[in-house]
Amino acid sequence: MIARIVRFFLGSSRFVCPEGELLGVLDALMRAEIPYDEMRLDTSGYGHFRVFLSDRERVRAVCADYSGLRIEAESGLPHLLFRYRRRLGIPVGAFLFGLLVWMSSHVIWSMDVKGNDTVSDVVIKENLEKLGCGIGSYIPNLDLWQVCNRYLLLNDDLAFISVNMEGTVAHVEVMERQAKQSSEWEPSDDGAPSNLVAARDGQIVRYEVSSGQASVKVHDVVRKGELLVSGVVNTKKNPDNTFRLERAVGRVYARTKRQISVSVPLKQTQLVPFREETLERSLIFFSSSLKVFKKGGKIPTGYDIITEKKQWVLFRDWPILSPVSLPIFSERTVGVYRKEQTKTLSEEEAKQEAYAKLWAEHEKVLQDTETVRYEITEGLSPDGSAYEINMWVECIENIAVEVPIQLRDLG
Amino acid sequence: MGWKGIARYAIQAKQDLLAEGTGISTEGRRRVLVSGCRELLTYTETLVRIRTEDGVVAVKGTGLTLRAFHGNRILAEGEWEAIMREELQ
Repeated sequence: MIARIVRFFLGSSRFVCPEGELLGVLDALMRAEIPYDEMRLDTSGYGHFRVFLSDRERVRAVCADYSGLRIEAESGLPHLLFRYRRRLGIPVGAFLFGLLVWMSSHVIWSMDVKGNDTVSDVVIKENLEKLGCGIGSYIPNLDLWQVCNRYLLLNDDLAFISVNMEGTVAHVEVMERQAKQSSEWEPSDDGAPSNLVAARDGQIVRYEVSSGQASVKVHDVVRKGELLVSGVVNTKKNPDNTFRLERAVGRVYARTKRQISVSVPLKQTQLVPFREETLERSLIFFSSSLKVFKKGGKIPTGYDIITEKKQWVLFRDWPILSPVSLPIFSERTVGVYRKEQTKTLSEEEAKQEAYAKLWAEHEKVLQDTETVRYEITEGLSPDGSAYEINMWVECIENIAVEVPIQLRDLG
Repeated sequence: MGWKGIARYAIQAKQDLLAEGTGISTEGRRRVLVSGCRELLTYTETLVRIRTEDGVVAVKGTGLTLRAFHGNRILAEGEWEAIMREELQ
């Protein structure tokens, strides 16, 4: 095997000579110590043998007396290079092949992000790229530990990020920072004295108090802001004169009424794409961008500039093979001129749209409640310009919210 | 010396190592390897005579071919029947 490889790189020449001259030729080769192999005799009376390409001229010299000797064929790398010396595509192709082989082990080809919900992949990838870790980055130069640390220092959107390399694919795992729950009242710090007050009007159905003193009973009707569970607890020893402060903890469930109203106008004005012009086309290979088209002149006013970036994927819709993402992107920048257009909906269309909005709102507003019953009134507005739906929902929900006790209030 | 020269040198060195002195070895009834070859005296399908450093080696058989020659060693292939040595005159 090794001999074959060496022979390919050195190249070889195959000679042919009549059987009558073969003894003399082989003897001359032996005397001149020129190695040969693959000697064979064919049925038509000719002998064939092979020598190294570098011995070709020596063979000719030592066998000059044998007129029947001639070169039959040549093979090997030197012969191929000589034969295709004028074809520029071959060295260019060889260079590209070498470049791809090198890139296939030293450069990030693709990147996938997992664990994100509200922060988009694009934002995370862009931020990572700013830190030097993106498609086309040179892997040996990357300090992924530092990249992740710097990401968390510079950006507040994530609580955790980890970049793991698997070959040339960067797997990015993230954990988003939990958004602080917005509340009408700020909850107290751990252990700080607090009360539970009603977040809305309602009638108490049940309550569970694990700390603090309940101020309401079942069937009581409470108004928004009314005290439900007090953090000021009278002591058992001298309940009239002494008390202690603690954090009120518990849930107070009440029957409440909620109203959800939606309205969909029958006449709607919307912006629709009217004219579209391609302004620029680029091909991005790893992190290098190559402009293949650019429209001359100025961009007219009133145009929205939209950039579409598409990654090339091999075997995208093939039945058996799984898709392979390539580090090649085509980017297209278009200018879109939008025109205002008035759209008139039929009553049925407006109704469908209104119901879609209603249920979306219902899910958003009443996600932690238990619906007891609901009533819906619907129809066109008095002036007939919109379709309106009003929903009254009777539900059971936890209305307790924590309010810290300000010690100065106690005098 | 370029890479080509190094490769040839390596092949030659190995061949020289194996080709020390005259020797005859066989591999089954199909192959005969003769070392220390100097001159090819006779070559037909039934007889091959080679002058070596120590004398003449004759191989008798049928369908004989001198398959390869490297570093003073010659490889004869064919159905050999007898290998003989003749003293130099």
